[in-house]
Amino acid sequence: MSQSSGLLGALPSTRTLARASLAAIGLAALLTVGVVLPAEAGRDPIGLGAVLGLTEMGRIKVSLAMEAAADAAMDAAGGTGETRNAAAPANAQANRWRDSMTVTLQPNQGIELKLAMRKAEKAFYEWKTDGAEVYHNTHGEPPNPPKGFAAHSYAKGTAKTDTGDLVAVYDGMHGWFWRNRSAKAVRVTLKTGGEYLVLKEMK
Amino acid sequence: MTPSLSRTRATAALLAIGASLLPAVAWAHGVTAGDKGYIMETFGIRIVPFIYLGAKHMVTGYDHLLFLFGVIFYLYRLKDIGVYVTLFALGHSITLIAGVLAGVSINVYLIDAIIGASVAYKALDNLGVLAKWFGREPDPRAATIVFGLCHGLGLATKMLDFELAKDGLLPNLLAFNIGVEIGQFLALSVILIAISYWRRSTTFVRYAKAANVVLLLSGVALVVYQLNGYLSPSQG
Repeated sequence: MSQSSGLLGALPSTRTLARASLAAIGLAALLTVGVVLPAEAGRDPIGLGAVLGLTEMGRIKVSLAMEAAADAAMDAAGGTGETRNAAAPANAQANRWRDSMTVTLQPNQGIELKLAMRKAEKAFYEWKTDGAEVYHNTHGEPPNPPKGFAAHSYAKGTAKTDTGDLVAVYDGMHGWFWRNRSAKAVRVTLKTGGEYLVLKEMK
Repeated sequence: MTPSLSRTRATAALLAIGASLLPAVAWAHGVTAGDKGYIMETFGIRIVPFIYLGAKHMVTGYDHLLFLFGVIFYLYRLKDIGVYVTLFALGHSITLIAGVLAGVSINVYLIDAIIGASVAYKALDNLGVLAKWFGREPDPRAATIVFGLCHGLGLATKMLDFELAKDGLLPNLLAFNIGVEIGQFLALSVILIAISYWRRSTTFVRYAKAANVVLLLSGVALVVYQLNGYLSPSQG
């Protein structure tokens, strides 16, 4: 900053201050349009956001906000709708796969497959993609979570495959959310077994 | 006279508005929105986004800004300001980087209460109360480092809340730290310009004490607010 022009201990001159103020206002305007707008709203009027790689951040944040809003609206309208149920064989045996489902994720698409489970039931699972890494969040919710309820997270990260057990922390829907952040469609195949009511795709 | 005072008021008001715009992390059905959602859904080394997030955290973190305001209140030589800002930066860089790498996460409310206490401390220092209490003024440089360390723990806790992937952790962390310094520099520039205008007017001398009393009250309010959050049963 331009305080240095003064003598030792002297206050900055009016001119120095005016210049510093102008520079600050100019920089603030540039940062607002070139950095904050891309990073927060995904809009990039002067193209700086794309150069810095911040426009992607804004786009992802906007799409997440819309998804969260859609979920909230769905809750307000009366809970989750079920689109399809996996065919469940009658005789479930320990350590045998009961269900298998394959879903295709378009770029940026997110899909949720969930097990309806009672508290303390234990299921096991394995999922893998046909190549690319996907983001996953393995989590669970009670049937009618209060507003602002934080889902219980079992595991999350990015991977091509994951396998493990799921012990329900409460009655409700427990399962997997995947999102494809690559440029090509990805197929995810999930196999489940153990104790649970039903496997279904959430919409 | 009055215009420069109202300019400072306007700056304070703007800072408050900016802080209230801090995007809350929205949870619904496992969808995490906001910065945290972005970080959870991306991976690998992302230098510029993390610089941005570091700067954003600093510029929108009114408690850090209040502390800096207190620190430079009576400093007007660039050299002194440089020394204190460097000491502060040194302190919070150490705990930010070490804290994240070691996974040391302190309860958000507690660490924010400590940061509030640092604001109150600096105000008392500026009011000359500490010198009266202890017979001599506590070493301001040591205090700045100690509070830098505390603020860094707050930053580390924030970073840990982002649940960063191991992949690219160190570069992202360093980028975040650089962003914090950039954000601090930007915020400091604005504070300094505002204070410089104010210093030129006679109201500065007249209201310097009042300003530090307000700063003290803000610090105390932050402590009370954060401790209340810590003690309320809803926090898990």
